[in-house]
Amino acid sequence: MKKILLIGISFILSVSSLSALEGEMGYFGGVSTGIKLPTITALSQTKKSSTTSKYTLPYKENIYLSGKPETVEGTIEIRPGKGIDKEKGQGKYTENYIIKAQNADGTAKMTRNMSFETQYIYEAERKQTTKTSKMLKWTEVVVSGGETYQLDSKQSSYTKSILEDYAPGVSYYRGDIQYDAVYTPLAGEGTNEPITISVDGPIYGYEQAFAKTETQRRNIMIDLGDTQYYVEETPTLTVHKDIQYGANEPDAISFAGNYKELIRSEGALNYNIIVGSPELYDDELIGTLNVTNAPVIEQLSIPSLPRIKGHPAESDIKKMYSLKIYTDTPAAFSPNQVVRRQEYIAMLVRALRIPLPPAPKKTNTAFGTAANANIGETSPFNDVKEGDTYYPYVKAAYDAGLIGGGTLNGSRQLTREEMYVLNMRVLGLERLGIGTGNVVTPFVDDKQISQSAKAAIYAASKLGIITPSNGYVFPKKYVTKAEGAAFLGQLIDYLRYDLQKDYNEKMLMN
Amino acid sequence: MKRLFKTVGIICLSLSMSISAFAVTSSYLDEEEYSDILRDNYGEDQGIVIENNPSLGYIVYKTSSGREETKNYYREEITVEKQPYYEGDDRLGYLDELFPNFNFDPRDTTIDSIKAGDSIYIKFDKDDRVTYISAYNDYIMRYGKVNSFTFNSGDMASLLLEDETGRMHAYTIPLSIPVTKGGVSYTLSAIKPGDYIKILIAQKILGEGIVEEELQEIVIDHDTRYISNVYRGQVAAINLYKNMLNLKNMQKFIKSGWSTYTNILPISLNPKKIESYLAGNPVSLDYVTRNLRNASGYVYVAAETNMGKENAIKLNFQSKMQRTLPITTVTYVSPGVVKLLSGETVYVAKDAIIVRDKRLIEAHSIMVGDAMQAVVTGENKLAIANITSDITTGSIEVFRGRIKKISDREEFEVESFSRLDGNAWYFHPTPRTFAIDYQTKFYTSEGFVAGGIEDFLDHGENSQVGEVYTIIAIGEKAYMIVDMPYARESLKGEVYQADGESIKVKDVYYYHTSQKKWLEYSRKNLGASVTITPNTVIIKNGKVIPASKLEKGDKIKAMLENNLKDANGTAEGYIIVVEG
Repeated sequence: MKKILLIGISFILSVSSLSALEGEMGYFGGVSTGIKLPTITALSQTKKSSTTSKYTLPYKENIYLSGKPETVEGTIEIRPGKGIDKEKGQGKYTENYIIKAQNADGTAKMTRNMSFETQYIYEAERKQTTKTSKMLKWTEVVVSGGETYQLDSKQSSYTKSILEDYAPGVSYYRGDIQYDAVYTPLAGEGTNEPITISVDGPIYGYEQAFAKTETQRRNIMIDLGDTQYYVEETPTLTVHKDIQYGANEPDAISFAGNYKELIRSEGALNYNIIVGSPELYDDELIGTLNVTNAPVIEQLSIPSLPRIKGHPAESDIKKMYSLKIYTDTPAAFSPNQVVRRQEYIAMLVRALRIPLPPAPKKTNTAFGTAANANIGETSPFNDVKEGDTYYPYVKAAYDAGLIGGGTLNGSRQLTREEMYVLNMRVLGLERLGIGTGNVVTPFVDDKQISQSAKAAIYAASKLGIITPSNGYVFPKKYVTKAEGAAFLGQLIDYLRYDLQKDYNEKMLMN
Repeated sequence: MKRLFKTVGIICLSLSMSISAFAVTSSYLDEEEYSDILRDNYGEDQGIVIENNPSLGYIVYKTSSGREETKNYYREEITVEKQPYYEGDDRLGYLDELFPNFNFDPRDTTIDSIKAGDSIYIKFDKDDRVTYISAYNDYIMRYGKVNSFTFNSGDMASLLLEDETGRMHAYTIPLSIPVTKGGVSYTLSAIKPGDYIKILIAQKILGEGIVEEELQEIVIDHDTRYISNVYRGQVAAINLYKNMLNLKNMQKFIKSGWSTYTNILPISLNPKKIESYLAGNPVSLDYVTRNLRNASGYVYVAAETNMGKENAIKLNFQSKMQRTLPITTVTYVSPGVVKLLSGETVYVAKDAIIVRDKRLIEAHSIMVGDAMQAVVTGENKLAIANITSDITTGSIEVFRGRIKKISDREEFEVESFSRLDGNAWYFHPTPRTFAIDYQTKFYTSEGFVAGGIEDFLDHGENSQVGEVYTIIAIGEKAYMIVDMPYARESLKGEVYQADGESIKVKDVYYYHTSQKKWLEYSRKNLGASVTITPNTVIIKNGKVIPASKLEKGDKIKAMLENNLKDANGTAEGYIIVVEG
């Protein structure tokens, strides 16, 4: 039991906090596949490979200088910079983007090289970071319609600012971008009239252990001097971890099958030409580009759980073990055992990869080595001591804002309403329940729901992560290990597959 | 109280502006009223409205502690604000409350707009009388596919929406509800079965387990998600790492039947969304992977384009016993049975792939009068149905006329005109006026004329008066003005090859103008070649399309300058209408 727990701790300990969230498509209207999420194996390595400072991703973008969409395809090279230092609370870093792309016959080309200096403030109290970027360098050459245009960086301007909000298990962000890019035709080619492209719009996204996504809205005004075009674009990218079970073909093998995670990534760009070349036919005014690449596969280990064979929650329980969220000794596992509050908090911490506090240092004393002594650290809880088994998890949950300090009552049995409250807090989406849900929820047994849990349960019902049974939620019912696996599985599926839909499928429809 | 706020607002405004721009008629506060304002002497509460009766002047609401409260108000004196769903402004009315005349506030409303289920914040005076209500609804967004949509009698319509989890939601909606597609407003009639839509709903919880949903706005997918193809073949392999289905001996379903073979077509799939059926029974993707690879029959695949790529969304495994029926009209529909004009009775089950307007629809959306191209199995079970729209030219009309006068960038008049009806021009010896604007496209034998509207003048060296043009009009508006020859000869036939520059047509008939009848062009069916010129106009499904959008199997009628027989089977086509 302790051994498994230690393994669990060790791989989570090495999880670095999420830092460079946004910008994996660049900020110029193109789409890439995004950077793949790390595998559990990569996160568990005690010896870290040097931090990747450069990513090269497949990339597509539309050029509209002719009033028609010309799709160019190539790569985007991203040097995201060192990210933010939460300890210091403020600072700056430099981010670089190099894009090289062209169309199939080489008649449209684009090379762009941009550097931003991003300054930030991290407010620990609010768990938010404000970032403001200014352009350090911007060079660009575009070939379209037989003409070559060069960016006039002195005439051009670019501003972006982003607010990141760190919920315990998900980091969200929203930003705004506005720029004016002025291009001049290269000498000797056609008219010397400069072209101005003005772009504005918001950017939204999130990152969590199972998926990340980013979507931009872009309103593009192209001023050719005597002609103007106007285009709306929605570029979006999604990276998510899919989970699949693979049953083994041979009988003579020590395990029947196992789960594997496949890390998939995809970008899509939706465009709607409001004012374009009059030559365009109606059906050519809208379109979508797609960019994708091969998945990364990771096998998940699986324990032997013969006692739950045929149990309705067998696959959910196995998934929890495979994801190292359940760490009980398999031989002693009982699906009907009730989950304790501290256990569930630890499960959420492991599931959402919430960083654990630094490991306690061993100190030499006159009486030998004192293990698990947390030097200078005081537990924020009355009833959990620094050396307790669950201390790292509840402390991590406390640091992340998932739970408050004081009396935890960690060994008390967990009720469904407490579970929903924790689930909504970990997602950071409690605000969706504030309002009507404070007063009454849509469930038949609403009167059984504690006032403090109503908003969370209402929010969960709005998101579809509560499956009521005939309209009842049974808020005071204790959560068993089997139910806990099913409910956590539902929450993780929401994080893997459903949360992203608000940012891609639903935003592409406009 | 409202009067009181008004007065304070006016005073503040007057002071701040330091000018007497308004005729101020001050109403003075008595000592008690002044004191109430000074000491914020009011009570406040929050809750959900159970009942509001403006006639009798009372409101019943439930507080957060579950207690029901009843309070009275004076209809004429209460200040009411309610956030419209479309307002993004986060101002909640505090400033507005102090300065009621400050500026236009879209939140200002009357007590009649407060309905059961609204969340409210209220203020009441020392007599427990409500003086102020700020109300809002909880909105949720629902996303899904239109299962059915019908107009009821009166001003209402019924919408049945299937969400992503397969749950059905029924709504009765007023005709006045805002509908947009691609950011442009439409009427409700733009909604078609099979469309993906997102809807904004005001959710009102009237009690435990009692939820009322009121639809506020509909956004229709701007054709980013549609059925792009229907294929048939055999499953060679399913790659669950890349989520790809490899379809061997693939053929595409086209108007003329089935296309040429492709060895293997890799097509994406989403294991969580794909539906698979074997001879009418649902089967899992694992079953398909294990047992239906390289099966002897056909698998019919409905492929949907979504987020810029094509995905298989429905698989229908059937035996190779199948017939492709020619396009015919549906004469009778009942649950599970469709009768066709050709005399066939076709049985429809859940496994059938039914496509209308590039949307996958349910059997109950097949209607009498639909033109259907069907593939049926040996037992006359429907495997695929493509319901084609008989739009042809739709609202597009083709005219030819001599310019009489032009009002710059506004309209022009022709002295007289001919209107194309079928393959004949009918002369009308009367003038006719067409509107023009920045969207009107001008073409000559050289092709598109950029900024053509600026050269379309009735004066100067390039005066267009007396010139003859072909006008492609939608209603009274000229959509295209084309300089082309008077194309009075014609042919009809079926496209069997199209490359954007010319089209090859088989089963060709040409119109013999003196005999006034269609004659077969070649008994050997040599076919004809129609050359596309830079000023050729092609009309299909009520839209002008580029030549690249012509497909094999399109049945066309082409207007030519020269007789096909005289031109030895190769002629320039100027107006091509796809008729089927």
